[in-house]
Amino acid sequence: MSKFSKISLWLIENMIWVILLVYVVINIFVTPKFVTYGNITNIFYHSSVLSMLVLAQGLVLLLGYMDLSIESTLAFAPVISVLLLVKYIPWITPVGAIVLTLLLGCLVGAFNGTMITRFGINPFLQTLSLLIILRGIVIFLLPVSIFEFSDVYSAPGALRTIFNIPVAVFIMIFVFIIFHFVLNKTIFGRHLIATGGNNLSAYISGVNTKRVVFITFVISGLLAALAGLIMAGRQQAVTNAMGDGMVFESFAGAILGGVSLKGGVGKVSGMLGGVLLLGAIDNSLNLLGINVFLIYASKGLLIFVAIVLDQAKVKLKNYIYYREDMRRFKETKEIAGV
Amino acid sequence: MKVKENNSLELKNISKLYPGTIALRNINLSISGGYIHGIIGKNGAGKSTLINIISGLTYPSEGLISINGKEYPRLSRILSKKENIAVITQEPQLVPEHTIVEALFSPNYIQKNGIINWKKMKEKSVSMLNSPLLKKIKGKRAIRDLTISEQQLLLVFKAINLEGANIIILDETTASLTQDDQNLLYEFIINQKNMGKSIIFITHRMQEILDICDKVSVLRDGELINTISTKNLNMGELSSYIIGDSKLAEIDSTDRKKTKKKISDETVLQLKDLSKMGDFMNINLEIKRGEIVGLAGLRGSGRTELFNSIIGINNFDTGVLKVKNVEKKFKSPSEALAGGIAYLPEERDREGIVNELGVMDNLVLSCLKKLCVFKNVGIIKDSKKRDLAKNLIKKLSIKTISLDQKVKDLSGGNKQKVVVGKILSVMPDIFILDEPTKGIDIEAKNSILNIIEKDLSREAGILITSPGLGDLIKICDRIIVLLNGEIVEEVESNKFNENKIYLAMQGKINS
Repeated sequence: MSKFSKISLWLIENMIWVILLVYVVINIFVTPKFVTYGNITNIFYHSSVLSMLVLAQGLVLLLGYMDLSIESTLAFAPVISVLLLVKYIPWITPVGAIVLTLLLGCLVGAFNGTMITRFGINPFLQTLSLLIILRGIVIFLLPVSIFEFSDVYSAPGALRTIFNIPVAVFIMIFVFIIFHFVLNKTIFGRHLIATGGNNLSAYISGVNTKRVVFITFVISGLLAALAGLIMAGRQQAVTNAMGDGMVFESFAGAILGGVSLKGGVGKVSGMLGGVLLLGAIDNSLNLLGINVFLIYASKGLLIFVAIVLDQAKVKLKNYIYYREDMRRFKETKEIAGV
Repeated sequence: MKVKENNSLELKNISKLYPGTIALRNINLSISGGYIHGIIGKNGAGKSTLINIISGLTYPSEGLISINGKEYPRLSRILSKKENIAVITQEPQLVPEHTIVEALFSPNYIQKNGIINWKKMKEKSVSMLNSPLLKKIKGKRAIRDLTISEQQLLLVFKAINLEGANIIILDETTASLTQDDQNLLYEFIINQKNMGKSIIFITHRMQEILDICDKVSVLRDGELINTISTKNLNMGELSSYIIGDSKLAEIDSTDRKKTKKKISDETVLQLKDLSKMGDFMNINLEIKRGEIVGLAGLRGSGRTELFNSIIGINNFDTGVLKVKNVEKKFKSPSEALAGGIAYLPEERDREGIVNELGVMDNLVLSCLKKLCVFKNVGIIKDSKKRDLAKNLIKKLSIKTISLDQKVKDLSGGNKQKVVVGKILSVMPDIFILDEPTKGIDIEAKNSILNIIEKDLSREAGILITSPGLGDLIKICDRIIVLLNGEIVEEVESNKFNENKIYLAMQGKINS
């Protein structure tokens, strides 16, 4: 393969980072105060919540499924935990409440996973129903917001460490490194990708595909709860509207990051790139003083662009392979001709 | 004879190349109106490719198709339909929700300005349903109420009477028909023939060719061996055309015996009266370590169903399955794998490989547990993975640019080698191989057969099927013939005779 084709392929594989780089460079000139230490930290900080959802959605998309319920889990897990902490059973302690939050996330995921693997319910419908059910429960239990709860509970989202970097940013980076490792170096990760790439083939090859699906949904729930924990800390409150509408951004981030809707294709690093691009766009438009509703519309546009890019990528790749084939074909003909 | 010029089809020098294989080589075939023209050949002989070219589903790489004197370099499905060519495939292509009336007319509804005239269609269909071919359908409502057999008859009727097809291809249509319906169909197409239409009749059954066809063309390995009149043809003669030089196969098998290794006394797989309603009955079978047992049977004989039940994709109803003398009933392939059975599925692309993954990742998919840093911790050691993959690639001589090249970019033969490599990496007690040599070129085929004989069978027992009997004869120690879900014949390697086994597969045992 020629060097040019190799580089092109690599760029297509990591397209998101190229786009991100271009976007940042443009903004250096266009947006005032975009490249300052404070603002860059801010972009990361603001991305931390969405990044967990994108990772959750990305992993489920890798399976070839989707999880709509994550944005409601994001609200459900911290709201229940904080309610218990401040109202009903204060003896669970803030640390206990953090553990409970994450456990509730796992539980929601386990419910999704059980229904999908054991009862064969369509993942779209299963998670759609939970999206509505959980949001309803949250609004019922918490008609008003809770502002005062333990500093310990809000630490993951609020605390700042050295160089004024929030803990949440470290959590985000840590989680992404963990899942990069899980996906590439563990049996579970390889089984996940094989199951998403060809469920039947993986099943016949001896992969316990149902278990893989179940665990992935549990992870998805866990990550959604972690997102909720960070968000609660960041806004120093739990509200019943937490995470409303974020599921769409989770799709946008994952697809921008190169995750295919068909399953089996995608990288954790790409998902991070997708989140950061969304964060950077949101941030720059804000700095430029663009109307909030236009920013909202631009996110819709991004989802559209992401899908088109996904298609264009496949076409481009095929074209490069085709050109390579033709080149080799011609070479063999020339050799034969001599 | 009355030859009607307007229903003739001629193939001139048709070739079809697939990456790595030649499916058809210089086929010259002329089919004329007023005849039933049979086409027969073993699996992989090129029948389906030929039919796909005539019906416009694939393009020939070379050659011309001439219909009634008009020449085309290639046909599309629409063009083929326009030239009044109809194909009845093995699986009826009908919408289950359609009513009989709608199924008969769709997609050419009687309509005016886009509004369907249901009343007129109903009226018209009444007289149609009186045709002997459709008499059983009368009174039934929707397609889902019909048996497959009845659906096929409906399609044949529709193709000829409603779409006005003049050249009708019956692609193994009779395989899914009941005996009664077969007779109805025979009567019907003989009628059509007498009216000057061309019938192309593809089948596996030699008896059908002799009974109802006027001429027969025999395909073997992508070449047209002969086109003969069936008048003075007998079954032995026909089968020798289909199989080719049977002496060659015998030499192969005697050659092999010299290098034959010892079969151990340990029974690794034992089936006792294994039955599953509608699929197979009372299967008794014992496989010893190091033994290769071939399972010969036509499509629909129950071999894939038997395999699926052994490895836990389906269950079986009654009987006993023993692996190394321990009774087992697997619930999934992953359980079977843990219990010592590795399975190579028949449909490579759908069941065998993960297209988007690299060669290495596909090869190691079944044995990741062995590649871990520590036991029982799910972290894979890269160097172990790499070494295993490199080993397998070398052993199977898989042609790949790198360890990470995506499997979808490999040729068919190399893909198949990846699937073989995957199960080879597991080192089980039993290999179950469903058509490991299907759809690959001769070189890849030989190397896979070689590996099955030398590597796979060294430590394990093997149960194998193959699209060509020749492959089984080459490597098996025993061949078992399956017919309609039952074992009808068992032949030891010193008594292999391709003709005889082929006849047994057809249900004709003459000892």
